[in-house]
Amino acid sequence: MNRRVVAFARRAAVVALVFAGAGVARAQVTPERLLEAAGEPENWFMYSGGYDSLRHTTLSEITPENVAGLQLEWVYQVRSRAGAAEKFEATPLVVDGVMYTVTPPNDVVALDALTGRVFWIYSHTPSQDARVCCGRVNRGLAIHGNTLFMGTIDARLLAIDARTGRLLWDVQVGDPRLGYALTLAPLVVKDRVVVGPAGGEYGIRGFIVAYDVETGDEAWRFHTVPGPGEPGNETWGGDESWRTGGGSIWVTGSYDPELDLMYWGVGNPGPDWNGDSRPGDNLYTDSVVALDPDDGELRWHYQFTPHDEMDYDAVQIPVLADMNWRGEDRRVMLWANRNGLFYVLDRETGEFLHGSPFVEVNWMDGFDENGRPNQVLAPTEGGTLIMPNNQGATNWYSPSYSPETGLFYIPSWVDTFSVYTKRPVEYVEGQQFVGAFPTMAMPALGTRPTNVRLPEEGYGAIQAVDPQTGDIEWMFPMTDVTDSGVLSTATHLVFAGGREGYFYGLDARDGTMLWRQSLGGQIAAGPMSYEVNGRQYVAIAAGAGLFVFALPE
Amino acid sequence: MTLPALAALVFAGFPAQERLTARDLDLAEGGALYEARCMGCHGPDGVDGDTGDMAARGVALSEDDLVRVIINGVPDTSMTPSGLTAFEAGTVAAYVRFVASDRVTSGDAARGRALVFGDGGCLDCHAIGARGGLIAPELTAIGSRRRSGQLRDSLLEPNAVVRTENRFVDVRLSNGTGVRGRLLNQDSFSVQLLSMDGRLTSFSRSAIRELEFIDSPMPSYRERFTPEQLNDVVRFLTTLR
Repeated sequence: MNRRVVAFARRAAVVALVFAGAGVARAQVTPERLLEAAGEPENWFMYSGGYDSLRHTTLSEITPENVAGLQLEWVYQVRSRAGAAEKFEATPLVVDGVMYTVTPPNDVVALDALTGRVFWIYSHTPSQDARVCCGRVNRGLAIHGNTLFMGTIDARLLAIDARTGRLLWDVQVGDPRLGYALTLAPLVVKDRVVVGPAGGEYGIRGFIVAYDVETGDEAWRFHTVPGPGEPGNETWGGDESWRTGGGSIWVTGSYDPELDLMYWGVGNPGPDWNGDSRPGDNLYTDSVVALDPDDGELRWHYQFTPHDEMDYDAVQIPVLADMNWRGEDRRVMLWANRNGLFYVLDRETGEFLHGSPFVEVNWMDGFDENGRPNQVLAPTEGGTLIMPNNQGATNWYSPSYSPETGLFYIPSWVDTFSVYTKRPVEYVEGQQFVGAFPTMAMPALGTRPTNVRLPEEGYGAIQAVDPQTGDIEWMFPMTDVTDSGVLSTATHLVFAGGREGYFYGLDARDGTMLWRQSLGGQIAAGPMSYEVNGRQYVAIAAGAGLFVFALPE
Repeated sequence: MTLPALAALVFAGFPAQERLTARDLDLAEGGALYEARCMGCHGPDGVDGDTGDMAARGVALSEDDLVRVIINGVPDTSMTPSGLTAFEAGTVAAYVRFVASDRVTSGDAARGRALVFGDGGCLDCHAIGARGGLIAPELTAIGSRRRSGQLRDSLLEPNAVVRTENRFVDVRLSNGTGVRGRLLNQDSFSVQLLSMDGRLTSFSRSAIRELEFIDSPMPSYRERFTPEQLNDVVRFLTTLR
């Protein structure tokens, strides 16, 4: 018998029928689609919705007039018991009717955005070496082409095929035994995926690192704590304090494609609550850094809290808005900082334009002409009461800017304070390198089943700030505090929640509550909105579930 | 290879038989135990880089000795006592003998690789690492999960054993259009699949006129490969771990 191999796809008629239409799936997320995300409001391509990080939707079906009619469409529950015990912090992506998100700690799930039914799940089991300060959490994914990217709490960056859930490549970004972890949603810029490590409580030396999206090869690394010879290293006195300087990166940065600048907020210096071993300003901790995305070079920086001893991480979303600011057309950056101050910076140069408190602040009493705060209080051995508290006036969760109202919406903790006591602290590899934990009236991270606190011990609120003046235009208070992000809509709505588990639809113009739903678990994630088949949906993670709402058909 | 021998090859795989015998059931139980308890170190074929050709060693032992090793382990090695009962160990022993008898032992992995990545057309549907298609089972580490005999059987009779997660459906919608793909999920109201052209697609059951489970789209390679080429491909696939 004479058998020959027959070239498969080219000869069999049956095969030709089966493969009619074979080829690359048409819904590829090209770099152009990422840049033009605003032109596809039905999709949510990245953590903050777009490179300018407004967390704002121009979808217009849901309005202040009809929001009271929002109904629950579907829920997706975290499947693993271990995962259900963690905070669900992810913002989902939606691309062409498919939703991608991460349930804690590191399970990637692809859902039908219409029904919430599962297409596939990819589970990464983190190593036992993983060390976290604040929960085995993950804030979400980035997408490029047909590849999803997820950082893991054992400090790996994974590339996963969005169609099948198969692992394409993975790289070890840092050593989990030394406290390096990835909790942020990565950022894709051009053909690079960019991440940074959490671990500011473990004496890490932080960095921002870019990898090639196809191969996972490292392209460049910027140290947020400069080493000898690098500019800024002179701000680290003491005995090689830069080696354990902190400078973590745990929330997604922003990107201006016209200026070709990437912006990242940098975390606290270590040890958190005693700066004696690290005299100096400790650059670039508690700063915003503007980097060239092609080579990671620093173009400018602004430090919000020099020589920080209050754990006032500048780990917030840089919000990029173009506006006429006090009579001049400007490209600005709006920033509500953990330290209690609202800032307006020129994002081209880093020039300090404005700073004013959005909650009561007592650690500083003003700025010099360069925007350096005049600090008047710091931790002492006897203990000092400082406002805002250690968790901050706001934190990692997303603010929002509405070009329609011109207001900046800040999820806030109001009237909080901590007593900071300075104690000696020694670095031990793999252990927390912090000092004495300051007092707080409420739990830093979790919730208690019941709330019996006094009003003067602090409360949560959504505050609307006028970026022109720093004035608070309105405040929507909550009894308990909030770890929720804010979504604003072009139709003058603001969606947000809090630890009580209420999810609200507020009037963006005056903070009137127009709709609320009790979801039964803390909201520690940002809302987003998408559209499928002409209907608008709003999604929010609460407790151990992802809840999706829409107007009735 | 002669035709009768080829026929024997095709029908040696016990899942292909229509009527299950007691031996089939024992082999199935032994196979399940082997997969769960032994395969990690000994590989699907009983051959592994670290533990050597366990199956060859096993078939050289008497039945009692083989069962004893399975129960007691091997001192001074990482094979600890298994805790299996005598009956369970007996089913594993039978399975080891079956594995040894059903292995593909010849074949050139390099030639097989050339076929898989080339004229065999396997990567039109299957993926190895980052290369290849989406729709068929991934082969990246197939050698750590499937016996060589199973791989041979799948190449000859792809539809004889199809794992539940690899089922294909034809969906005909009320509007007249149709989609074919791998079934991912289904419930009372909707069906999710990965279409042949690689799109995640979900249908409401109310929009579906007919849903049909179809044969595996994978063609048989009985006519496409010579017996030598078949062995080459199987040999290559067993190296993928």
